[in-house]
Amino acid sequence: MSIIKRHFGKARSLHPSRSGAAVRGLTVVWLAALAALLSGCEWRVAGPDHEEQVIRLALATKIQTLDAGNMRDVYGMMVAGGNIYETLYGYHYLKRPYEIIPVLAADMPTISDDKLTYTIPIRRDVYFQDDPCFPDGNGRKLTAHDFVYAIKRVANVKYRSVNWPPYSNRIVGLNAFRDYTRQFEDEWAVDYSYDVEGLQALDDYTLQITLVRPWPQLVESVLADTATSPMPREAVDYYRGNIRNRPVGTGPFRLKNWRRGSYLELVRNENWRGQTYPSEGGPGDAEAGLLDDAGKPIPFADRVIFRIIEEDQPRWLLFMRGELDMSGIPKDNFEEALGAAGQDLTDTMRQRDINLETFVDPSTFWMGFNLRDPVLGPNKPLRKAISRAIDRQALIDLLFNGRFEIAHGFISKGLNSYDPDIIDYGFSRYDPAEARELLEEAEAIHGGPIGPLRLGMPGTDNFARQYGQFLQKYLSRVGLRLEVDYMDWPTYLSEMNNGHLQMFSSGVSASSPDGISFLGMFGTKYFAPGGNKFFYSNPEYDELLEQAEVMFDSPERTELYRKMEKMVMADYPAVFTSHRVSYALLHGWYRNYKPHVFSYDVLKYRRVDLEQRNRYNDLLRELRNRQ
Amino acid sequence: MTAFIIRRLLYTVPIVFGVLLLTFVLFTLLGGDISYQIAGRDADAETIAEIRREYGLDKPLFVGLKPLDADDWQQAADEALFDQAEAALLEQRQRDGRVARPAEPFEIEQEAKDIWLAELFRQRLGDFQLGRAAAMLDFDSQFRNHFTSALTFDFGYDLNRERITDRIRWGLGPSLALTIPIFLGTLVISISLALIVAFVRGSAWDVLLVIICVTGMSIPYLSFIIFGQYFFAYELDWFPIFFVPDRSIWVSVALPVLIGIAAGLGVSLRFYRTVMLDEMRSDYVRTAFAKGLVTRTVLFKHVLKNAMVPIITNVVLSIPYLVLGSLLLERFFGIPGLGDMMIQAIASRDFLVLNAITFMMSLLIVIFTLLTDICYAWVDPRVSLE
Repeated sequence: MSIIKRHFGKARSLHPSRSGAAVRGLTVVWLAALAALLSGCEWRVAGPDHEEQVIRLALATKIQTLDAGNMRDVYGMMVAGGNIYETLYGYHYLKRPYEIIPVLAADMPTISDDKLTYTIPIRRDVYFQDDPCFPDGNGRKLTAHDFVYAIKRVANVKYRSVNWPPYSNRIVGLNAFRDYTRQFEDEWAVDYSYDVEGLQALDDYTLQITLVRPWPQLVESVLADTATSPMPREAVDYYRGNIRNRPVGTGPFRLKNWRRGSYLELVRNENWRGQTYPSEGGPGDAEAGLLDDAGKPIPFADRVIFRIIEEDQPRWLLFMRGELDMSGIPKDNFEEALGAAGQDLTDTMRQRDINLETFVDPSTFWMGFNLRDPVLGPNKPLRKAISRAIDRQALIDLLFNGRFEIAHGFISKGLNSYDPDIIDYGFSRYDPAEARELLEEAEAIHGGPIGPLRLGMPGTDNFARQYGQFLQKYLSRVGLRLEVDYMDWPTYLSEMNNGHLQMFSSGVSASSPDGISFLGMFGTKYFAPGGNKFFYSNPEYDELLEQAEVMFDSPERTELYRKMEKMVMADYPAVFTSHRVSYALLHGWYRNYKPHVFSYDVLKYRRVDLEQRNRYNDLLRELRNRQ
Repeated sequence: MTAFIIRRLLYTVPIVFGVLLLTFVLFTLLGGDISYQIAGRDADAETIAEIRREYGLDKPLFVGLKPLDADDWQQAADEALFDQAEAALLEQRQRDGRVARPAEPFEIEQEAKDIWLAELFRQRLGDFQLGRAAAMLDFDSQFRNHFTSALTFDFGYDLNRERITDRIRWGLGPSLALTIPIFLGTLVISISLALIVAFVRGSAWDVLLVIICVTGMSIPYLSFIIFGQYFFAYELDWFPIFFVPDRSIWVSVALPVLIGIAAGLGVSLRFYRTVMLDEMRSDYVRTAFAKGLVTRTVLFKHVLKNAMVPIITNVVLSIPYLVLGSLLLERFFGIPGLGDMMIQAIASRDFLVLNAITFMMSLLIVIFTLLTDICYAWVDPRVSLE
């Protein structure tokens, strides 16, 4: 004690009596600096969003482009799809099963008897948003020529659109147009007057598409896809490369601000033709209050603000503070939101009037096998042994908070052709004992012990490593050694597409309710760099795929899809692990929310109860006082 | 001094060239082919080839070969050398264990062309037609592009086809709005405290401050951020949790600045304390007190001035890094600066952006190192630049 008193009681100064003035002077400087910084505390002023209908959302990553023709990332679609851009067709917001409805089309298409020609009437009351790209700055009327231009633009090889692959060899003359564009130096030099036989504007308000062969998914997969949104030629010519930052569309909102890497702000498009909230919905919608706004004019929101927040903590804190209307649940906050059991909302959430929505997001994840690999390709027992060795439920519990579902097949739940009975076939059964038996059989085929297997894992982050280590652990339990190559994305893609990976971790999400894109992943004609990264080849399957691809929705087609799924599953081209289940937390004031997994055209239906939102800070204060 | 400055500026030429060479080799060899990343998962080979052309990846790395004239080219076509080259390519692929899929014509064409040109080049060298062989060399290469883009400060486009120079321009302001207050705040506070603790060295206050500094240094930077954001912004609601759109940038940087100062104070204070202590032990300080000078005069006029050389070294060499912003603070607080851009580029392996920033940083460091040397001569008469 005396030591402490001695040291704290008297500083060993060279000149103690005069040091006080210097210290006081310095203290004043610090306090002044601190006061200047703390002036930032006066930040919470009543902004316009207290009186306006403003939807406030977060994006977990930066937007790459807002150019419809080259947009494929989910977050870009969330901002622009259905909000800035519109498509010919879309999905009904409330009805389930999902129902296709005309958006920019005046009606559903007239399809010729041979299913090859689609004649589509275009609405006559649609205008592009006002923009300097137009001669007088006023948005002009939409015509069928804009759709022709949009699709040709995607086909232009010099435009390098990521959305081209589905169009290849589908529309009469479109591939020839693509070949024709090769001769030009850049995308703007291409002459779009080149005639594409299968893509014609019969007049200003009639579009005709002629197909090479029937394409049953044309409407729901392509004409409802943002990539085919009409794009005014004037805008592309005016903004050129900058068009990616200057979207010009026909949707209910237009882009007002885009501060790169920080936030985007959409405001109402004054030229939008107007629409009313649907008065019909699915079962339970009326009870859930989803029809309370039936018949009211939309959009409800005056503005939409997307804040780009890449870290979980600030996103979660902003949501809990009431500065975001909805949020996912970060892994580290899962227990805070849903308790240890992960089943129901905690009191913390309920007291804040936060609601939970869960829904299957049609997607499938797997550890794929390269069937051209000399070890895995000819050795089905080995592939099956690997499948039996992985405990998928443990994987889901450990890495996804138990949120995902086991994939018993590769056609995901939520798709029309999902087979609820596929679980009975036990393709994804965890059975280490059987795995060991199969391994003996595999070694006999291989002619000796199986050497280390190699898995290409996209990503070098913690999650990728945890995933890799999990798989290594389970395979080692049955006597297999797995080496994991953690790769950056371009290397991974290049290696996978060139068939250099023995095994690879991957997954896919559905963009429409039809499961054909999942089935296409196993067609010989879709070998990588197409969708078939497994190099799976089965002539019988290919034959069925040819049939399935031209069949329109019917019970027969569903049966065929299911048969094909089982055919592939029985060959074990991959360890199919999981289907994603999404969890969304919503503040009570965020109204008319109904999950829609195939459409981004949703924000115009959403509404904010301003009174409830503006009371939230009082609620937080009250909760704090109670503690 | 002029001769010294000119000499030092000339030194920058090989340094900058070395940096460019190093970054090129590192990013080209380790970076993977970005065209796959840009093109997307299921892109066809043709789109990938177009992207390679767009980014100049179809050019040779350092030096390539070009046909002398159209006649040579025509001759090759007439003699069906392309077919031979294509067959050789497929054979090569099979030998490498790669998939021997039929190659796309445009894909083969380039490789076939390369094989044929190499053969022609070898023939001409073998026949001692050195002039003709030399004329085949094509210096329009990826390295030349890399070099010229750096020297003209036109770094081209990033993976998202955004002009890199624009991105740097947009990010510079927010980064400096964050780092300059952190830098100045840390500097003023740590030098002031260092002067005081040097003055009362060995006392309990000195020990206490050293303990606090070491503790601060031991806590990870990320912990300061997570705690600061949670406690001051979320719990106490004194600051915005995240960047506030439509408000002055100063509103959004206030908390990150305080966190940055708090997190950096330990290291800084320990450094300046050591510097000050070295000076306080000097004879001239004792002499000054013996002469009866007041503490303020001794501290600010004598001690501080003599401690300027290490302070200047530390300060001036820190300035280039201010431009870089703060990776973690920007990311957690949504400050759209260069630090956030860097971390994004690292995550997406956008070597085009990383290369631009590395080059600019190397240039700034060279310039500020020169400035440091000039400042030495300015503050310390014992130093002369020769």
